[in-house]
Amino acid sequence: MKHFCRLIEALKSSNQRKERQQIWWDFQRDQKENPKVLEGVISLLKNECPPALISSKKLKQWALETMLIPEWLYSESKRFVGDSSETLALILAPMHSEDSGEIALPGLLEAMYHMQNHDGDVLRNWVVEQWKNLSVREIQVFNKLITGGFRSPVDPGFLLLDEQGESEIELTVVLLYAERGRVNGRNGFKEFTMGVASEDGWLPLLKVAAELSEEQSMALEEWILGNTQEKFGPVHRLPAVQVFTVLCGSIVVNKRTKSGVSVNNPSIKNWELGFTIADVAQISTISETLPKY
Amino acid sequence: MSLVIFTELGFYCPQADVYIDPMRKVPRAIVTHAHSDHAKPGMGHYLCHSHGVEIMKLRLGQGISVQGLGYGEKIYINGVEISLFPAGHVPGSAQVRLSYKGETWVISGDYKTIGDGLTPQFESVRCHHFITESTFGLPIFHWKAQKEIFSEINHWWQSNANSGITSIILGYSLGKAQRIMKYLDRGIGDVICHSAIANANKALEKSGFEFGPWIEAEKAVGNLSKEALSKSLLICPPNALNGPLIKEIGTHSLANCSGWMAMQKSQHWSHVDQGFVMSDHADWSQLIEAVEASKAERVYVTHGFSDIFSRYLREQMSISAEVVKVGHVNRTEE
Repeated sequence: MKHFCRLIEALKSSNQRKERQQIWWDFQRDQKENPKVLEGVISLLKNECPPALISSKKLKQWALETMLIPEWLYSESKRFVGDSSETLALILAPMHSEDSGEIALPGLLEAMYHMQNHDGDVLRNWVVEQWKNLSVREIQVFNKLITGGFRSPVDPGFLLLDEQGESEIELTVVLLYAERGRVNGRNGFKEFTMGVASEDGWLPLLKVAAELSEEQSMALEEWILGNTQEKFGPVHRLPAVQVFTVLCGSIVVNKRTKSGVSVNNPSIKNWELGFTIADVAQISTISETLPKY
Repeated sequence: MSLVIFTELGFYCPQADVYIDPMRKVPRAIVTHAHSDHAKPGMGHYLCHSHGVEIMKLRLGQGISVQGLGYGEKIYINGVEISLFPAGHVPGSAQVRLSYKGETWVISGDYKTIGDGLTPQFESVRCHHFITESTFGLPIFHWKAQKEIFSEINHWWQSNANSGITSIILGYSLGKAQRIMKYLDRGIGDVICHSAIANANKALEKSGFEFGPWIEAEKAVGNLSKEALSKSLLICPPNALNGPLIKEIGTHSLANCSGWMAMQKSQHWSHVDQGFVMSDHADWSQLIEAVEASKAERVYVTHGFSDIFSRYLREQMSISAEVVKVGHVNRTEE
């Protein structure tokens, strides 16, 4: 579980396609002696998880009863943390001690299939026993696995990627938001939200790592700082002016996003200073090209 | 009248006419420790633990009138017995015990109950009235064993050194920085300190504290070879992050050591490459442990999640507890 959680965290923490690929290749190399671990990880990354063992409501109840935490205190904690799975994992953290054992992923997945036939005390005792041997971040992933809430941070194509490593789809998009952060050991803008045109105005479509040349980064940073319309923490809202072309691996239907699609593995190709916002893609055109299934 | 009352200026003992950690100028102040949200300038006379005298002078001026007291040593003001006990927060930190005609109060200041090997460990003191902080008063805060945290820090430093990248850790200049320094693996490289930390180091070394060899940043940058610099670890206070020193260092990996790093969003928002969960405050279980050990009839909760922690004490532990607010509005130094 430890290695799997590190992999998930590393994949989530990077929005750079090449870096994510490298993380995955490094993981494969490190685990080549453990084909069962690799097999388990690949199935989870493909979202092929064992069926859920328990509802998240019941899991929360067991966790709070185990730690003697009243519901109101959980709610106050969640209000502060902002994420229910992280709150529960942090509350359960004291169960883990230095001499706790380590849970291997293949054994855990096997046990999850075995536990399908159990409920009540047997299942509860098993869950509590696992918590004792897991760190905070491992508990968070474990709880998602047994409640059916685990979502792979990568799309299926990622695991194949692809020797060329090249993206094939090109989109023309406009910069809508820029997030400030650490870039190459200095403060700068690390991630852009790019949008496309829709009947109702500009629509956020994708987030992409701010990978530009040093000269372009400085010029764009100056423009962003001079044109910010509003700030939400580190995020700057910008007028739709700067046009880019991005490359992406695939575009799939995703009803959970505002645009109705999700764009996988985008990377900046060019900052198109010669383009205007009239060149930006329309969401209707993008949607029409997607396969209907 | 109560032995201690809560005023806008801070905790006040009318019988002894003395304030504890007052916010504004008063004639006589007992200061629990030298962090800036507790030790304010301009008091007529200061009383603090003897380990804190030099650092108080450094921060508030060499000319201040300050008296140092050892742990357990007693002084009397107008019949009130005043003594200090280890709080375990940072070097020179103390809980303040006030006793008069059979009534005893303990004002914890900031504290942690586990020993850190640098500051004398927190000592629980039985009392009738206990004033506790609650900076990390939510059950989501649970600190790992110190050994485990330092193994993570040294591992991170070693891995940066192997890649030729300087390591930078953010930590408050009094307490956190020296605690980090004490347990760094000196076999990896040199330890460099920002000038604010260097000054605190010198004051604490005068008071007898030891935390291993270190180089002042101004001397290190420019004098150390490029290779030595890339293997070194720089400790600097959070407010120095955008200063010229960081720019001179060049390629680096940045880490923050703080209890707030327990949450993923804090790591994300603080724009660091690595977060280490380490605090000089009590976590949830340590707060409960301290309250229980005090055997106090009445508990007053201040600083942080005071509403939530006092409710928990009342409803889950049947302890008479209430929130007190005495005007500590600045962000707490850890």
